[in-house]
Amino acid sequence: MSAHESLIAELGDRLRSGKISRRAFVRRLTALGLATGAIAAALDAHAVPASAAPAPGARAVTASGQNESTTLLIATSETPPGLDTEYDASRSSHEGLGQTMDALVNFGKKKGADGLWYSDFSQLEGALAESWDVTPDQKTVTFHLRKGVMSHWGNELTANDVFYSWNRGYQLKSNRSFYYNFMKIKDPNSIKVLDKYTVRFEYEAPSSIAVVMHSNLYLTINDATAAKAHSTAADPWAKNWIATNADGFGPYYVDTWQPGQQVIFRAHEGYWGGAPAIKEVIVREEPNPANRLALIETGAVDVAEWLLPQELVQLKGNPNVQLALFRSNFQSTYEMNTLKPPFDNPKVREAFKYAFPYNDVLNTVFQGTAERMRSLVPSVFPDNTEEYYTYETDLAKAKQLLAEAGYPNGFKTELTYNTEIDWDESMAILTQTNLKKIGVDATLSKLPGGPFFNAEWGHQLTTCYFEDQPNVPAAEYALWAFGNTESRGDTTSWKNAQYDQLTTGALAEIDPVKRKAMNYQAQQIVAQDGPYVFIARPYYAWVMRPGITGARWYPAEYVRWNEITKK
Amino acid sequence: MLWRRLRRSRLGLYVLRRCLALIPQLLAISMVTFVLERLLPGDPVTLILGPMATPEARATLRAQMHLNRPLYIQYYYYLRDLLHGNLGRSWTTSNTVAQDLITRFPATFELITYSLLLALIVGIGVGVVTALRPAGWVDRLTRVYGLLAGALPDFWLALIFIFFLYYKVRLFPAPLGRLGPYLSPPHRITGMYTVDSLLTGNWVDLRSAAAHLALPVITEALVTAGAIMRMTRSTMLTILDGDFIRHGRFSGLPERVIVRYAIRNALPPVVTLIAIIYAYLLGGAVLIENIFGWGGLGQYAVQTLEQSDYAALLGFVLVAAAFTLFLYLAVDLLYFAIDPRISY
Repeated sequence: MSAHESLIAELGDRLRSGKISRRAFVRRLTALGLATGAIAAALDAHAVPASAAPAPGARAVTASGQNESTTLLIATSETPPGLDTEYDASRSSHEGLGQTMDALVNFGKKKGADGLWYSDFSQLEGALAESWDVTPDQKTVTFHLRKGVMSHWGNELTANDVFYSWNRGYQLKSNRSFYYNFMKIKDPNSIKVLDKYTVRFEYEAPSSIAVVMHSNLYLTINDATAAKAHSTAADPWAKNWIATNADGFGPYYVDTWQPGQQVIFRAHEGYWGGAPAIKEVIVREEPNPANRLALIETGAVDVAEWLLPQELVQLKGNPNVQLALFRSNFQSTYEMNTLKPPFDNPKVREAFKYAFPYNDVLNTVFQGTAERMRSLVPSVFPDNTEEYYTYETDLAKAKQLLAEAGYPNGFKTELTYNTEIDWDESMAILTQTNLKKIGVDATLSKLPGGPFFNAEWGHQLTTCYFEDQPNVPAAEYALWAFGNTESRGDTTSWKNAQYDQLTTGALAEIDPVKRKAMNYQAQQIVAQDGPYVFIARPYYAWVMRPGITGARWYPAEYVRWNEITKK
Repeated sequence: MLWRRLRRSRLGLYVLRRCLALIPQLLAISMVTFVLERLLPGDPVTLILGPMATPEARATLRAQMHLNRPLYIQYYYYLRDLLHGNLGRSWTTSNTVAQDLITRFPATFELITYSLLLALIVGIGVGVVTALRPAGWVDRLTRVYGLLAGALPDFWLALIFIFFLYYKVRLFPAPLGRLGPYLSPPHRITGMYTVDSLLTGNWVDLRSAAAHLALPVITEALVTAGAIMRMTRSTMLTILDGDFIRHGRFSGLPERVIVRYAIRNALPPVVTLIAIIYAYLLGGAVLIENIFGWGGLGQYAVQTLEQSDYAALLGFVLVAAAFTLFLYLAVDLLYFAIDPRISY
């Protein structure tokens, strides 16, 4: 054997025994002067799959020994601040919670007309609960839990876990306490543990969403045993541990928590729904959207999240990238504070609905990555109708309405926007221009996220952009949340007695036909009299490498990784 | 010579005095920052709990965070915890502030130290060369560079580099943070990946960390070197015009000895400038950190400021203040080493 050949043989041994990586093997052979064909032959000979040397920036075997098709690398705008359903409600937390927490019920899936998978809200399926009984008056729901559901920490799901989760929220007076109020559950005593696998919820009033509500991400079930094991005297509800570990029965658990850099999730092999195909998910923080774009285009990551509209447009037609634009429940609206004249005058509000530059905004700001919003109820939810919000830009009509309202020469007002929402500034400028044409002089003012939200929820802003999403897939919930006087989401103090009656009534209406009529009527009232200009519903964009299939849209805007496969 | 001076001077006492003075200085800084921060708009309770929170939930959290007590009581709680090493908990990361700072300080420190080293080599080197040969073509070119370096923003330069050197030619790895995506960090000794991987013999991590450091360091160094170069050049020019240099030349001293004398005399203002830049970069490299997904202190400061995350922000300010104060102490000691006229 020549010196050359023995060297190759030695390198081959080291490759096989794992002492050098495949890339190093190839590089050394190149240094020896071998041609590509000879290298491929050498790789073959040493029982390694023959393929071209990976380009710089591509990935080799992961540190944990997983291979490429079972690891997902996601570049996102920020790592979640925490994973406790009681405290963390930011969009980055939605994604983390969606993977680690399971709810009592879930929805089946269906393919939309665009070929993408959506949750089918007409198909309620059991998740942690196998079946349920509802009394005819819709005031009591008894869930029969699935048996043998194990958490990552090796504890079995029982009715006590359900009680613990709901009790925790009540005692902490945090997120879940809103749901107690909303679903008319008096206190934890209304949640009865009947036996190991049976739990009963008693509502004070009939609820149209008695069962559907339990699909909500924020009503998922904690592993009580694990939580109690990590409770301390100073922290009796394990807040510190749950924030970084997401205590649930979902298909993934948190392996590494490095906020600002990455969070690594690993598959829970004993998941009741079957071990996920994707074993490891690395969620990497990359705050700059242009960089996330570059990363997905070069194939350095598998998924890029939260890209700007102009970047999504750039990706259309790119064969290296799969673009999934899901119709979503996210809404962008322009709201007018009814406490501040002249916005207490419905004619003025209507004038603004005619003055808004809908097409300009959809074309130049969203560039085709949003659908026109025509209802408080998203198009993906049941009972949605688009027939009542027929406003299009008509400056003449707007001016006429203003004159009728007593402002023939317009008036001065203020438009506030959130500096942290990418498209708000462009929208503000377009809005201001149109308003000027009808005589309204709108001064633009901007606030960073924190102060903006405080001012908005404190009902202090005159006009602003209100961007949010109804996460419970029921029309009556969306209508109530953003318009009913009792809802905190009614940030304009809009009071319409008939609307209040309809929305409260719809939530308690158990006949779906009657409820649909009430929902339609409510949509009509808010379209015509309401304080909102409905602007757009941006699509939820999942930008992935080719070969990734199975992504399904969930309300609260995330994709569940256990439904994905990767080639 | 230095030894004798050290023994004769009361340097030890001076250092001790300065270190002791740190305590009231840091206390004063913490007090001012604490008050100013509480005066900023933005209510953390609403931000943490979201809009749908019930009034009871808000009241509970407010009481837990002591936000309903007068300012001086809040400050007392803060100090008391601080003395136990408890800097509080960041609600934007769910870690304790101490944990966050321990991870992020080495990340930024590594980045800015390498940047500054490179900037020093380039800046001082070029500054000296152009001072010795004014009006040469090197001088003219570097003057243009000096102007541009001051005018060009670092984030723009970073994006240009990423576009050409990563996106187009793949010379450098993806701007995805400090280490390649599938590698785990080296065993932690200092928290700086290059140092730790060197100390533990983890060559894979060392190569990846160095490769990921390359682009941000080059960018920051190129921008910073401009200022250092300009300062070095102008100081050198003034000194080279001085009497003692002229005397040395007339006396027939070789040029390299002249240059050595000149550089030594030109150093003090440059050292001051470097200290200022170093202290600034601890928080000021935020744009670079953002673009490269570094997870450093600057990013932390901006993020927590926007989210009204009081505890975290205060932690950052204290770290930055302590770092700056130590740096200025080091600079003063360096003066002592450079300039024989100084005594403490």
